[in-house]
Amino acid sequence: MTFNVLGVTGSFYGLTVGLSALCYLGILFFQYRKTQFIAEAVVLYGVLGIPLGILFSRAAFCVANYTYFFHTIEQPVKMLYFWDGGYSMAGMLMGLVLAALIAAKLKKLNVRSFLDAVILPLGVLIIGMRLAEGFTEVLGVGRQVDVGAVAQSLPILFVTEKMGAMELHRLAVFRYEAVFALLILGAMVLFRRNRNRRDGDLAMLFFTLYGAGQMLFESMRDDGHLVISFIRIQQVLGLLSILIVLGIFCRRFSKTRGARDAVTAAWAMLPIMAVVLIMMISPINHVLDLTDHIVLGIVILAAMGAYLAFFLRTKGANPRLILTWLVALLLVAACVMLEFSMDGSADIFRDYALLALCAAVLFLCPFSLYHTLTRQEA
Amino acid sequence: MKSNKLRNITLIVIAVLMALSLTFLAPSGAILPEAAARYQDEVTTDMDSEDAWDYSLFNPIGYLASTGLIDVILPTNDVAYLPLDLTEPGRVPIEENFTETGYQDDTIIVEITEERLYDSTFHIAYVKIATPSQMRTAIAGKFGSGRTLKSTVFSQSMNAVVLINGDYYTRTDSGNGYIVRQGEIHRWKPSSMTDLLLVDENSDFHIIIHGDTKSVEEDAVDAFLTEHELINAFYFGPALVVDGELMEIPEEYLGDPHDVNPRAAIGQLAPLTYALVTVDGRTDESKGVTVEELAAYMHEIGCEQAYALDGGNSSALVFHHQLLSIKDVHERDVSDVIYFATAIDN
Repeated sequence: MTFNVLGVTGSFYGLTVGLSALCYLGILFFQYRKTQFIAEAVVLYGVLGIPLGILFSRAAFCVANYTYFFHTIEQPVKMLYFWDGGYSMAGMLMGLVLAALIAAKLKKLNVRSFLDAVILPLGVLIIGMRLAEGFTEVLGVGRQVDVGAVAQSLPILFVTEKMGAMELHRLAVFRYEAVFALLILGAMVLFRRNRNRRDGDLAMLFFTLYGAGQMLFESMRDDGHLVISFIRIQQVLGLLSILIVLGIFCRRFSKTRGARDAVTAAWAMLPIMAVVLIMMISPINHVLDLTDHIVLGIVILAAMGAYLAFFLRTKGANPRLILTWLVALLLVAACVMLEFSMDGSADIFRDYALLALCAAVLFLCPFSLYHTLTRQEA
Repeated sequence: MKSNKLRNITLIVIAVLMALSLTFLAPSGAILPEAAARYQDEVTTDMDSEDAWDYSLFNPIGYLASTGLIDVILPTNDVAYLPLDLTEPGRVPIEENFTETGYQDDTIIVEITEERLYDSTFHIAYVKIATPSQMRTAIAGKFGSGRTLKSTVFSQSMNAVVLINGDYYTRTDSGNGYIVRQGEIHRWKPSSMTDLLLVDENSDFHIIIHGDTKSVEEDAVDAFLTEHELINAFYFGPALVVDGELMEIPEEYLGDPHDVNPRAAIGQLAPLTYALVTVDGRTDESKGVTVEELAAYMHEIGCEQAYALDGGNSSALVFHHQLLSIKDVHERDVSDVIYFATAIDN
């Protein structure tokens, strides 16, 4: 959807993104306008963030679509043609984080504290960017669903698309993601009230919550955006962000505890090792089958054994930490299995609900550690 | 102090201008369809399929004389071609003409049958059409949109009498392959790894076996284009039967050809006469077959040309909007299908 300004074509997508960026930066500046150094840092962040956000967003898109540029069209120079479209939200976030780090360093501010400050209203930008996808008619659209009366009573939940002789209803994922970004915004405001948090905690909670959302919403999408084979890049990055934050909180948590008997956790790990062993002997289904990949099974068992040995021997090992990791890994496995089960699912809404539940509990893994840590430090 | 203020104002103005410039510099999070088409045009052979079909009334006498497998003469005078347009559905079939085992009207005959071989269930649809335009393809959404749909939804949307899944072109993206649907080009790249199925303006099949270098396919496609219009091209395979000869399946090929799996294949028995075959798999009742077994079957039923399509959970044979194929999943969403429609003006 485009319009003309003095003979130059503009897009409603770009306009919405630009206005969202201005809102976001405006809120930031307004919040810190009375503190000179921070206000200047915010302005610098804005000037750096927009070009770095575009650069990293484009770079991430090009990396994910490397095959297209280098093999399909054999024109790698087209990677520079950003005005033809092609951006990644994950890349944009990386660019903004880098901009925040640079601005904080240049203004000699606490980097983590400044990162928390700029992350807080980031939901505003994401809301705008998600709603902007509605102008593309390509992005942010999910699977086709048979919803009958629901489509009549709640049309905003769906996008209609003409296909041959029929009108189909597809999930309007971009709208769900915009609503979720609003929830993230609210959550950040609530988390900010915790005075016992450390600098950088807000940023980590943001990426954990955003990552949990991406695990669900990327699964709903049917727009081929940033997909390599069947793997949705932003879904994987969302999962990784949760695990990275979990690792950071685990490390902080272990430092506050003395060494404890972790035998209890070892007993919990054994069933998982048993499942891997079963898959090596007999397949559970055509996916959970290691009968032709015995070496891989041995590697997995060895890794789990090393993991157990590491935690049993390391000072600061704690049953709660190990159990939290266990739960997180089980949830990751559950998410992967659910993602496979979506393929030809008889009840896609049930599977989405389960995936949402898994993503929510996965978010709670690092969040519960954070909550305990901040209570201890009170 | 004053210089600080001036600097801040300047930076704010720069930030505002940069944000507003996104209106012109960031048109979409995905590559614009027109840009993608432009990029594609820069690498594609000039191929004009617009006039591939003569939209005047079709006199099929020449084709009727050579049909073999189904011994029924279709009274096809005054049959108008279906349009080439990818988004146009077939004409609405006559509901009363559907039976459990087939469909027949003046322009299309479909016979559905089932066989039990290799401990697996084969579903076969024999199809005879009056005009080449009744063999059609459809994609979910537009090229580059990444959309998928259930095969049964495709069938209902496009008024298909019978339908089989295609090559799942959105996922078989190694950057290579000729992907053409109803004359529209999505990708135009030779491959040294995958066989091709080309369908010409008469809906005749031409199978190109890949060579050690990409130039083998490229030269073969160029030679094809000197004599024919390219209506549809598929990038999966392998070739099962070529010019009546059973093909040897390569040791290494896309999609685990030597494992037992659900399978899908399309074959041409004679001009305007086809066989669509899927094999159930990954269930206790039907394990599936290897590609060799599939090839042997296609050869046995008399295919002159036969080509494997995307198997596994993608394999789907749909008749009268009902899914016949059974796997261990309900019904997978796929990106593209091949379907046969009636040309009767109902």
